[in-house]
Amino acid sequence: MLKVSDLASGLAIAGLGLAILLRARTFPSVGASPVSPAFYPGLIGAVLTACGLALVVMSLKKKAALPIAVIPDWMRRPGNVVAVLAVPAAIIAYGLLSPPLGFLATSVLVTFGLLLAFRVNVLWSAGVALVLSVSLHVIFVMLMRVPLPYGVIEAMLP
Amino acid sequence: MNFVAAIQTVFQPFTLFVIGASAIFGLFVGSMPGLTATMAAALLVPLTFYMDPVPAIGAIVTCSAMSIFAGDIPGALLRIPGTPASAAYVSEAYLLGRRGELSRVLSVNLLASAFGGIFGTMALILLAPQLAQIALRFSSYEYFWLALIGLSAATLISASNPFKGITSLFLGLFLATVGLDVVTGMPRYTFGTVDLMGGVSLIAALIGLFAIAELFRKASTIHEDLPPPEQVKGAILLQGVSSIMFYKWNALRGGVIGTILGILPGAGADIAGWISYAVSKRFSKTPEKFGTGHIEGVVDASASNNASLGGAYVPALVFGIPGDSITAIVIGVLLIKGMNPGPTVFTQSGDIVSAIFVVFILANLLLIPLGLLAIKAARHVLRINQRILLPIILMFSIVGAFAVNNAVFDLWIILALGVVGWFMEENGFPIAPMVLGLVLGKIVEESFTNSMIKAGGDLVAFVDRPIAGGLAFVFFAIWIVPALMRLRRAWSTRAF
Repeated sequence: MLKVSDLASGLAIAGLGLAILLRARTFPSVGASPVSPAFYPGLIGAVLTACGLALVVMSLKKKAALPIAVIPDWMRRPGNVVAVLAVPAAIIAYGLLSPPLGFLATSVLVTFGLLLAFRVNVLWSAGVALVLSVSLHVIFVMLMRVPLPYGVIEAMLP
Repeated sequence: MNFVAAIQTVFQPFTLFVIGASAIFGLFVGSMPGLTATMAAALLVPLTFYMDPVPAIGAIVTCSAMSIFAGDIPGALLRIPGTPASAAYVSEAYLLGRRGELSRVLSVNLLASAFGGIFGTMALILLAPQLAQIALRFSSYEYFWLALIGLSAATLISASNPFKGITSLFLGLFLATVGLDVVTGMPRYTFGTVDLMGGVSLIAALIGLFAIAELFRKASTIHEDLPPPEQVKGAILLQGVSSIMFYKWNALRGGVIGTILGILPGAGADIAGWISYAVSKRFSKTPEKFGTGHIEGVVDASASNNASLGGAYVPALVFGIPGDSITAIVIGVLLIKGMNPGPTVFTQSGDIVSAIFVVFILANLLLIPLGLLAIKAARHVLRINQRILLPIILMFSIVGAFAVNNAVFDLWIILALGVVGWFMEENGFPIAPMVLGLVLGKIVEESFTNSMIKAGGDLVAFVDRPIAGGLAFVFFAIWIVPALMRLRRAWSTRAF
């Protein structure tokens, strides 16, 4: 992940805190309760803003010529960039594909792609994808009776 | 407490199967460098969702005890800690191994871990019910202060920069406010989505912060292959017995320090390992030998990190305030199961509490035979290709997070919090306070609101009762004393 200076992260946190605080001010208060629903989130927003500003001040006081952000080592290695990007890609693909396709088809496809992105060879990737998907199906659906998304392959099972 | 009934509850075929399976899982995750005990617990949560409370908590207890020990194995074999809890003494253990004492050091790790684990368990069994008696008299005012003390301790212990710790805590508290407000039922920070009305799913948040963030980090270093580990020779178990007997007081001290640090909210096995090692060196007769392959500190720290696990359950069960990040997960599981961690657990679900105690003892006894197997298997386990292992863990996280609510939205939560958790860790923001904030956020707000309604908006009521006043004093002292000390230091350096 990017390493950023405390100046940058402090500003971001102060911004988030302010946004939380301003949003809380729009919550209507209820007459009977001495605590309005805006009080607690408002307090959280205020503390986050203060912490963010404190980080900014501390970072400015140090005066060390720190860059705003440092490009980490892994971003210079294409293999690692692909592996890192494969993680969110797999989550998103599973979220989008599993409702229409069902668990087994999605899991085989996503695992296969994920293993290829981690530079495992095609045969191994296919084998692991199949074995893992069937094992997960057995553990969740057959042993623990947890429903997984139902789809094309599940419909063919007895 | 009825231990016969508790033993009967635990010695059911299904519960024993769950304990055995999670033991093997814990040993495996613990011996894989970079995969932590907390991650192992987080990965178990979706499975425990469908179990009764005893096997559910039993799985997490067993898995964490096993993985904290197993973290020592790659430390001695490769100089790489399997979990952060073993980090304090890896070079010591590795140097011993290079001198041909690999079996001895692993045996000491195993015996000291089991001893520490049982010590922490005994402390839990003796302390928790007594404390619960006192806690039964607590009202919402006391709970309010107690939750604040727990959150403060967690924040101050875990971060080198206090502002980063506070930021992490308040991010967690903020996430807990998302959803319908408890008193008025109005939606807060839901951005109009129905999926957020019920709040941020705790299981998804835990998997995101602990598993996905970890996977991102591992994926970014995947090119670094592990060196081939050494071979363990001979009968392992007996080789460490003489060292443990010689340093028996060190093992005991490790147990005491680990238990106390476990009880303190926010400090867990990782910090226990470091502090016990440092204490061991400070009071050693031969401090010059530390760092050259000396077993003394290893005894202290191996006992200490396992002892902290039991200690952490004391505040978790008695007050509902987690002592470390693993018990934060346990509290989440208990809440999902409809149990409210707190003193009433001992009266309403006393059988479950006794069963948890029995699981603790069983897990630490199982540690010796299963730990021996793990040591023997380590050479093969450490050869497993990380490029295949990480995708498998990722798929398991995705399927687990999705299966709990069958909600695609939970996947976006694990992704978002995975990125946030990774960013925070890389930039010096600790994760543990955020998880505590997320788990305790609702309790803090509810106890504050209830107290305010009871008192009709009068803040004096918060410190009126003697215990509440005392707790309030402790709370303010926690924040003011370190600040004053820092000011004094700044003053004295300026004077010269």
